[in-house]
Amino acid sequence: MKFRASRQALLEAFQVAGSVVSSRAIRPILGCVHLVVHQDRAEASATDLEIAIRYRLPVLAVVEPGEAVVPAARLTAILRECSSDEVELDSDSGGKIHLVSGSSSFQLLSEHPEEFPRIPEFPDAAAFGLNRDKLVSLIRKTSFAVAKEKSRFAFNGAKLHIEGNEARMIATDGKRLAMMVEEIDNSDGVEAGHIVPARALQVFEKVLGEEDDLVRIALDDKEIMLKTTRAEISSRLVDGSFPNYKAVIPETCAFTVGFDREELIRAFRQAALLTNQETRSVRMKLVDGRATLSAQALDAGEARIDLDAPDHQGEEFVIAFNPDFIVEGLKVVAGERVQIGLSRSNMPAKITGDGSFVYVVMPVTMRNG
Amino acid sequence: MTAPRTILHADLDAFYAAVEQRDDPALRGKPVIVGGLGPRGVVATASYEARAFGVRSAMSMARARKLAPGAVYLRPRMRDYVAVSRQVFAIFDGFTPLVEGLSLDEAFLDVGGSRRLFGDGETIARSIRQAVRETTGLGISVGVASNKFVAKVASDLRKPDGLVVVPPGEEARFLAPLAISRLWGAGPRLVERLRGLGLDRIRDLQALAPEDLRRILGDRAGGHFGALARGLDDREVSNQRETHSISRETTFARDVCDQARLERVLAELARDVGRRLRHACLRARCIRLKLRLPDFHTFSRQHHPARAIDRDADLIAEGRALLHRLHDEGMPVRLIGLGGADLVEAEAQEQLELFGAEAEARAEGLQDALDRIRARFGAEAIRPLDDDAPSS
Repeated sequence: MKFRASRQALLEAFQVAGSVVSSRAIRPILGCVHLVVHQDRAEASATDLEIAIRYRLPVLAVVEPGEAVVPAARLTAILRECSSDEVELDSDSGGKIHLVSGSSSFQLLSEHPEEFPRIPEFPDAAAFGLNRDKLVSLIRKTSFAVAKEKSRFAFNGAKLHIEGNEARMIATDGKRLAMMVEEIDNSDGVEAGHIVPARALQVFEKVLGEEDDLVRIALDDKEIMLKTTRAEISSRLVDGSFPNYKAVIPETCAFTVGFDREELIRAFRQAALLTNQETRSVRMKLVDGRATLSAQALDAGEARIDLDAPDHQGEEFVIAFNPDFIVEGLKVVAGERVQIGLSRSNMPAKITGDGSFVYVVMPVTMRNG
Repeated sequence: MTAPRTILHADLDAFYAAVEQRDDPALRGKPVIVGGLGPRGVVATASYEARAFGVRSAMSMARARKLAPGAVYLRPRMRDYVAVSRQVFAIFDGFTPLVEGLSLDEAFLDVGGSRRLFGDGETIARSIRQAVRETTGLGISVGVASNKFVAKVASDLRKPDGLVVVPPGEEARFLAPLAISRLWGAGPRLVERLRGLGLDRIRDLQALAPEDLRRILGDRAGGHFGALARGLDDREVSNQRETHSISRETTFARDVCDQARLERVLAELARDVGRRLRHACLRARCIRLKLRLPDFHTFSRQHHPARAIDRDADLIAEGRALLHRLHDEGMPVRLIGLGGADLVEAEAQEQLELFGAEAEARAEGLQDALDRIRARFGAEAIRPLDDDAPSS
């Protein structure tokens, strides 16, 4: 195998493929990228056995077709440190890879291509199309709410629900929940309800910012597969039952208060500066058209921020939130103004803006007794 | 460079036994051994007269009786010891706000900020020893040094009733002739291993290049012991008086193999730990189970639940899961213990959950009701049916 490629393009390909490679691979070969070079095209594959990717490799010239399995992290680092525009990659019969970049050359040990796990072919026949922008929107507006730490299995992924002309994605960590709904052209009559792992969504997002208008998706009981012009990705689905999310989205709230979105983000961020890890909470007091955010950290001090809340003219209402949860939701909600629906200080708040995004946050309370 | 710190380590001499000898003149000059007097009892403290027979704390009472058959054996009077301990800590507090109590009879004091008021480390140590003697009639040994480790070694060196001062800069020379087992964290296995390499005294470690020691012991241990051997220790004296763990353990009169019985005992311990946690308004972020086998091998396992807990049912479930990891049916157990550590204040705010909020509220209500009934009618008055292990 021998080919020449643009260093920058090769680096990008390795960064995408490398995001799938497991950093603590059980088998060294899973920390590698599999390069396959044909006369007219080339591709790089990687897998951690949960997620697999096949990525089109932009080559300038193929000298000799062939294949090689190269350590992802090391090759990525070399490509990053080199400065020439072009690099040449060459594998010898002794299992070594030679990389030449300008006046630098590297020789790397490689693994045997036959031992590399087989990456499934994309099942074109079973696939349906989804508008790329809509898929990106579904992912961006929800995936941040997936549980960060390993908790209940179903919380480590987002639910993708397709029914009629609607695709919705829901993610929750048990404390807040984000849901986005997009209208789609579902002429194939696809129905789906699967939990996609958070990591797969991150990889999807990486390859989606490209030239396609439409991406192809295939789903079965165990896997979700996605195909763009440049990439094919398959991921195992999360096994487990997603919590009954509909039951926790308040249908009605006792009252709803409108805020300027930017102003509210700023206010929560400011108040958050005077919280600490043990008491990560910001209190919001509503009274007579004013909202007052306050926070105190025993070891640091206090913060108090006043905001206009013209919708609230009733009696005093106090509720407290983890400011990170609120800010993360406000960042993805669309529109200049946002609505916060509230009922009681121990009941969920519902945040909405323009469009179909819904965000539900449970408050923080003082424990009685 | 910052100025050297002045740290005192103060340790009451043979504390429990000394209180007994103080309160009963007939015991003075006699070997006195305080501890559990049942068949499985363990020595808590031996007076210096008893130590001459080879009796040590943590030794089984049966062995102590063989070594010192003529000694006076007493059950501990904790209430009295706690009262004396309070008097002693009140004296410490008079000299500095930075007092880190290690147990009833032992504390670190950072007196760096008190020098202008009370004099240098040695002067303060003398004042403390005199005040403790006058107030309680007990002897206390004090070590003075620039850090915790050296201060602790110093206080131990001339017990009982000793005062050892290690001036700043003299730490390494002071430690050089001492045995490696003096190093904090050096257990018998490590000492044995180093002895196999011809390393016996702290000076032998000082003579090694740091990278050689790291090669022998690994990066972490090598770095740790290399620094200690040179008398370096930057741990701060922490005056947080909060309880760092709440635990309960019980030693069986006869070894227990039956897992169902162990689970029942564990549930009792868990309820007691839970009651004490809730009483102190604390929750445990870490649950620890301890098992001791008949040969005194002691194992422990810990688990961090997703959130801090204080309810009996949660503690029992955690304890049981740990027991199943640590214990195989039929394995004889001499002692079982359960504790909550990494404690946080329960009054701190609580992030509510979206799902299962009702179940959570119910569990909370149940625990409150149980606590109220137990407060009124006693700990044995009520117990949920599913609390106990399936009877076998």
